[in-house]
Amino acid sequence: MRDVYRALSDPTRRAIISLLRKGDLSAGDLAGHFPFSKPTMSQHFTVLKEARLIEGRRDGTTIIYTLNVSVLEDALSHLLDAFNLNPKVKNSKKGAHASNVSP
Amino acid sequence: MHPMSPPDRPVIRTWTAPARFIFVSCLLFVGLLLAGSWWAWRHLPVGHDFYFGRGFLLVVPAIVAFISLTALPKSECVRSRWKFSSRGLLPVCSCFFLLYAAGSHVLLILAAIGRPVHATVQWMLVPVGLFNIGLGNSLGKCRDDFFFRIRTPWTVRSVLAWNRTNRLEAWLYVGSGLIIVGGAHRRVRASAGHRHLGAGSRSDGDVLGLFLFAVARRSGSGGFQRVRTGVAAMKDQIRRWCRAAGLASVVMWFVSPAGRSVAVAASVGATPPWPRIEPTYRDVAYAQKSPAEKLDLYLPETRSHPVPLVIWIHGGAFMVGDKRSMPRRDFGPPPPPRGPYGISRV
Repeated sequence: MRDVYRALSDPTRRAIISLLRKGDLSAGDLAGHFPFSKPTMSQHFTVLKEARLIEGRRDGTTIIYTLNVSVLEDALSHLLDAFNLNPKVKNSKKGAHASNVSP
Repeated sequence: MHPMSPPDRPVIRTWTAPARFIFVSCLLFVGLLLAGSWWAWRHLPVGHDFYFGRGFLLVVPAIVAFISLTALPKSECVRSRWKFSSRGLLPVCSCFFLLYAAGSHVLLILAAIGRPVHATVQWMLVPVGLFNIGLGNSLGKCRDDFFFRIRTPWTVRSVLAWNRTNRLEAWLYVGSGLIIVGGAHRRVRASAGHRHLGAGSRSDGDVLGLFLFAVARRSGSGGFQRVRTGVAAMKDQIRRWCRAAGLASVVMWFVSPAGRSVAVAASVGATPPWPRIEPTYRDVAYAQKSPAEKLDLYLPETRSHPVPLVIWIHGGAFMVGDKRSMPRRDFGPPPPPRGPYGISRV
């Protein structure tokens, strides 16, 4: 649950989730919606994947991401979005993981 | 591309092991049910038709549970040639169904032999609500699940439609669960006020919750993508709809039972706050045409003057049944010792 909370604490990652709600998207399409560099986006994807909020599958050379949220996680994401909350979550074991990669 | 078996996602074939598990547990379950029914047979309500009779109540649900939990998922799966992947949802749900049915069965028997189950029966829908919440919540994580998903021509052929429909389904499941759990409190309160189990056993919350549940089962009706057109497609759809409706009704049958067993247990065994009374005159024949034409007479203890008489007639239009089908053997408070009324159970 801590992973989930950390993943959802960033507005960019919540934006990724809301994009995926409309349907599966490739990594490139997703990255096109944000002004960040590819490595930054890749970090975001990794965090989301580790929290099991999205799943990626390889289709040729691209990776297609699918939403993999439970209702609770979806509701949490909506809630944080609605109040624009960006809570700071302490990184427990994996060090400064990716919660401050966004500029 | 097939939603069930994307090329690089490992399809977890969990069918064989759970199948055996479900089969054995169902057998055990049916056996226990039958044993319990046999033990308590003479206490159980007779009923004047098959539907409410003790035979139906105790045997048929077990058989239907058995068939639907063992054969149904498999046959659907074989027919549509899908790779079955339950990811653990179905075994867990089966366990819940079995435990729940066994629990309500035990309650029914306890009620029939006269144990107080009033308080327990009130809360019987709560586990159902919790189950809906849990199931709905985890549906989004188990997109490969076959059994609980809405399978229509357009959802199975498009990953997008499959995922979106089932995300909606998940939300509706959770909503219905919340409403059922929330309604339970109201139901208990209402019933405590009435001191009468039947009056409070149904609340609009349950109805709404179960309705939402039904909507959840059918929420694919919007249709995101139509693949075939024309009469053939319509026939195809109707066929699949019938199948889906059948499955939905089976599931509803499990979940609403709850309502039904509550009603039955309530009618059989509501333990009234007054002591059980014996009739003053038992099995008085009031006609000679049939051995069923007998009545029980409950009279005040002091019988010095005429008192009004309440005549309570069983359902069946004097064509079927007799007074034993009257749901509650312990009806109403006994006639007060000095009147003012007597009761005749016909």
